[in-house]
Amino acid sequence: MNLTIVNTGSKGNAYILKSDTGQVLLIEVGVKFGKIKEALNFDLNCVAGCIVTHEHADHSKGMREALVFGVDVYASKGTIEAMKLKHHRLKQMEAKIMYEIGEYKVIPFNTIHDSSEPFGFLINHPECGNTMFITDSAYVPYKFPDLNNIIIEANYSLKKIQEKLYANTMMEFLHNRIVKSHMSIETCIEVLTANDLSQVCNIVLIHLSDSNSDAKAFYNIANDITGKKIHVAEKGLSIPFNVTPF
Amino acid sequence: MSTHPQQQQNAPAVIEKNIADSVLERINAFQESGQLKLPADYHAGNALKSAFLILRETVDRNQKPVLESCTRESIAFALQKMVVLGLNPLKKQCDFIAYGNVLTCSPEYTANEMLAKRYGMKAIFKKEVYKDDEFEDGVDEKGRTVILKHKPCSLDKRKKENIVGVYATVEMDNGEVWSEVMTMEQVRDAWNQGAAKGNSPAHKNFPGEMAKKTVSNRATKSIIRSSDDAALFNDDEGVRETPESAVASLNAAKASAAEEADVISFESAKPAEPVQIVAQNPTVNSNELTDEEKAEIAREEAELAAQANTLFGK
Repeated sequence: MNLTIVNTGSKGNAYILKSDTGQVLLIEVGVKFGKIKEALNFDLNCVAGCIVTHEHADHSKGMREALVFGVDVYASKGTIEAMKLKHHRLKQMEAKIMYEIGEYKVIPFNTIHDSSEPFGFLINHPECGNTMFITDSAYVPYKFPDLNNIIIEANYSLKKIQEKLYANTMMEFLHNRIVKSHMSIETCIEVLTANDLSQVCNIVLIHLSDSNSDAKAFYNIANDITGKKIHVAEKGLSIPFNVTPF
Repeated sequence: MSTHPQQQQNAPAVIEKNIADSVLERINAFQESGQLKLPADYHAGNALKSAFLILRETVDRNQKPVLESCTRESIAFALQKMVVLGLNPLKKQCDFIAYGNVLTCSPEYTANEMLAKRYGMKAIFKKEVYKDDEFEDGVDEKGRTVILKHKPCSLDKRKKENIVGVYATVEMDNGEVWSEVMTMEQVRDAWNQGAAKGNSPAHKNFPGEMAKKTVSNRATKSIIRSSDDAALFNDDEGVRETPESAVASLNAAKASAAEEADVISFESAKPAEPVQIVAQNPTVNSNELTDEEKAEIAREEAELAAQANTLFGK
């Protein structure tokens, strides 16, 4: 299994899981679909489906085109309604129900974000095991047993935005919106430590804010506390993504 | 007779407890029935406790404790007024004054400033004007009084008998700024309305400070008296969110979520219903056998019959 980050952050999110048999699960289409095609070497036959967390453009920009190109897109009822798209390939998911998308199994669950019915995903594939995918969520009201890989948002540092607020370089409403709808590195660490990490191989920190995060510091904190292999997502990063590091 | 002095000593404490209980009871009953709404940041119990700390030391003009000389009804009414206005006597927001055997609660200018702040005032600045100051006020295009210039005179010229006026500048939450200017004559007229008629030691010794209170009262009066009770309801519907409250509500949500965190796992998740092909193909009815299936069953039955015939040699 291989994880490719087409893009991450508030300008657009798209992640590709590709198994050794060549089958692909797309997570998010928040970039122009052409970028995803490029990352897939223009081979769309291998795409089993695409799962989308919510309707904000940095997660759904390329959805219409993906549907036109014959990709099955899965999202919540709220997301589909908010997208105002009608297409026979657009499939509605319900929280806590397991869906089989090609070789992949996916359980969506509700997250905490200022959008219509946002989802996070627990993904299972024999190669990458149980993989948690959470983005755009202020916190995580769930526990996940037996995780093998983790892709999680670490959007901002609470300390950093509070410093900016007091220095008057950040508006109060923006501070409050970030706090209520995105995950801080502090919360991210809490989520990680609240779950059993003994079988976890990779932890990928995604959706880092351009101005309110510090990739190096986040890497160090996560590394120090979990002792796991940490990756800070960046455009174009491609990493092996398996149950074991070997 | 020997018990008499002791009784007198205990009397204020007993009165205090009885009145405090009955006032708090009435306040609670009013609140529960929706007849009274107090500001969310106001604690009636604390204020009542503070009030009794003050009242125990308050005496009337004959130096008798007011808890003994004033009627229970008037004490209760004074306390209720304090609570309904949302004032705290320990912060000197109101005074308890005995007129004969009637105790009254008289809000201080600080109370008016606090109330005005509840109704949209951001800040208030008060200044006295001396005879030799360079002072110029004016009226803006909306008819509001504004201070155009105020350069105080040198310190040696700032004698209390040289005070010619006083002003208060009010800054509202919405950025609006206006002033209230009073001449010393107007201030003295206002004082003449009061019981001391401006002849109290405070008025005589500190006319500047007392004039500032007067002008503050006049400036805040128009804000308070023209206000509705919206400030009392703000905390229930659409509170203005502060950075602190945003973080606090996140932490509260996290804490309550951690207590009953749902487990998401492939062992417990229900699989999605398989796609109903039947519904998409109207020629097939799942409740009835198709012709093909009927023919198959007939064929099997015939086969079984043939086998039975050969076995039992019919």
